[in-house]
Amino acid sequence: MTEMLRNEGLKRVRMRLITAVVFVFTLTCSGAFGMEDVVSSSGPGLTLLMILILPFLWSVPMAFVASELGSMVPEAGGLYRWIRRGMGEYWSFQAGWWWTLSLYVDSAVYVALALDYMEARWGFSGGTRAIIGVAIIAIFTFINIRGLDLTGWALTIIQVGVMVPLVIFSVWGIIAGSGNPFSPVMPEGESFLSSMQLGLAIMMWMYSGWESISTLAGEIENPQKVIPKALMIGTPIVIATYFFSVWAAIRVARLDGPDNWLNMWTGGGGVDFVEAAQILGGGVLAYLMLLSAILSNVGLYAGYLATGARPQFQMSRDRLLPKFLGLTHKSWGTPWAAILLMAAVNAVLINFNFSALITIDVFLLMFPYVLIFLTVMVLRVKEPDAPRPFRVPMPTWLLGVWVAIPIAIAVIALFVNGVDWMIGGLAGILTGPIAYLVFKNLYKGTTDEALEGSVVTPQGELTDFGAAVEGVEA
Amino acid sequence: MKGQKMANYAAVAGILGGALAIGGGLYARSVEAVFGIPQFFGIYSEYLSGVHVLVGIGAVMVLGGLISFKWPSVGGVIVCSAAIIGLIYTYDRGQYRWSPMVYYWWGPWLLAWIAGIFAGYAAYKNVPQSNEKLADARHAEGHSG
Repeated sequence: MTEMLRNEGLKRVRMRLITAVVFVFTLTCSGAFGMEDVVSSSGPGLTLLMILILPFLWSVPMAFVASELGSMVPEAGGLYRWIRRGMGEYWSFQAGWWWTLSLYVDSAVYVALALDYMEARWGFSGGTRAIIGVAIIAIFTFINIRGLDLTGWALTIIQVGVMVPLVIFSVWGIIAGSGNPFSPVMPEGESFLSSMQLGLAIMMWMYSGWESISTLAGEIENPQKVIPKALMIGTPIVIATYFFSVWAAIRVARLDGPDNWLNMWTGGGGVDFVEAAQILGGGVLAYLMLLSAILSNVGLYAGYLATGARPQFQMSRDRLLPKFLGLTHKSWGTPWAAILLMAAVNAVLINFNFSALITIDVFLLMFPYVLIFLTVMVLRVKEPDAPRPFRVPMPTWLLGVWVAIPIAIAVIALFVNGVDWMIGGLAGILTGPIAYLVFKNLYKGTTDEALEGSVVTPQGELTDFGAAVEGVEA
Repeated sequence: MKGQKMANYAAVAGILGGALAIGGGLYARSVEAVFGIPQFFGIYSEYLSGVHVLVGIGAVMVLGGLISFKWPSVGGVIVCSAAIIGLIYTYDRGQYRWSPMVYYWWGPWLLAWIAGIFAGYAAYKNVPQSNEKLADARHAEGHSG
């Protein structure tokens, strides 16, 4: 029996299930922008098949595993604390470090992408671009520091703006478009493996983020119940969003020629969702789709600013990162210093061409993912009777077989996604041991007994501050 | 020192990684492997050829490994940092030297990572964790926000 303390200073908000679903949707999907590149790389048929099949091999296992671990260890920092419980301080620091490092770059990418869409349409100068970028970051930094309730409202409004044009486009495009969306399955002259390889990295990226909402568990009432439900509801919504919008885009692209799917790509000059909307409905629909694309990236930024800041906050509270990152706002109960630091780095990064860094972040994410999958197995063996308000409905051996698939995909992805991806990632991985050695010697870390956290009772409830529960090991 | 066993493993891995890099450099020289222009971030020197960098970084890794026997944290940082620099070197102003160098850096990178892991476990065992509840410590310091 171990007594644990809730994170002092964090304020828990009552998050409605619909808001939690919006969080999940934002962090894992937020529209389908980026899928265009998969169509031209892998072929229309294979893209749609991957949209339907890959989730069950890649993201659904993560959604289920995140639900089980999040219900068992519903603590601020999410995956970082799960891995600590299962695999100890060293590996949890590694996962938290790699994940945070990846999100520092990743979140800046979303602002840069939103600015790219704006610049392509309105063509402003570099100075204006920087001012707008910093303004976006400043607004969502304030909203995030203000609390998860306001962030939830902001994301809800944003996702309405993302989805309304996308739904109109999808319905209209499927009806008015042309051709069989599954044909051809692959680009001519490409093998199955080479076709899949080209789109796999993007698709894996599009189907990532299921673990992210868990990092907010310290600031949500009853996270052990709300988050698993939101993940289960969010999963089919994400798959449907990708499937129907890409189906529509392929049929709309073909209105300009049966092979026009070969021209589907983002980044200018190709048939992206905005251009497809132009083909389908003219200027008004294209304008709405542009707003949807901008809002999609802004939403992703707001979401990942929220979740990206929490592991470093918890690592600081566990005395493994500088103390200031563990500060909380006295009135709003949010980790303001961690949020502000992330936003400041983002504001700097958006002004540089950091394409080389982007290649690192996907690679870095694969390692925490592998550790999460291993952790669920370790905890099933080490703590078989610990309360799990959500439990993946399969025996441990079968769960092991199931999570072996995404682990294999993650490992394969390390080798098939290009040399720049790999080399940047390999260098990024080595920063983990260096950071641990430096910060461990500086700040010492905290024993398990002195950790701030939560205990789930056998009835699935969280204990009160400082309470201990008979028969429950924390 | 509680983590001496782990420190020893870290040291051996670091030394092996460095030796592998040095051996790779010498082999590359014997087979006259082509690694492109000898430069790093725009600095040109014959000492910045692929062979020189492999041997030089390898020597630093061996040194880091030796230091790990006594100070695993310091040695681990040296070994991993050296391997990072070696990996960064494989970039060449947008032209990747990775393809010809992959065979030479793969082993040293892996061993550097293993050295870092063992050094981390040594640090975990050697550095005593704080047992003071953070909330108590923060109250004692007179602030809570």
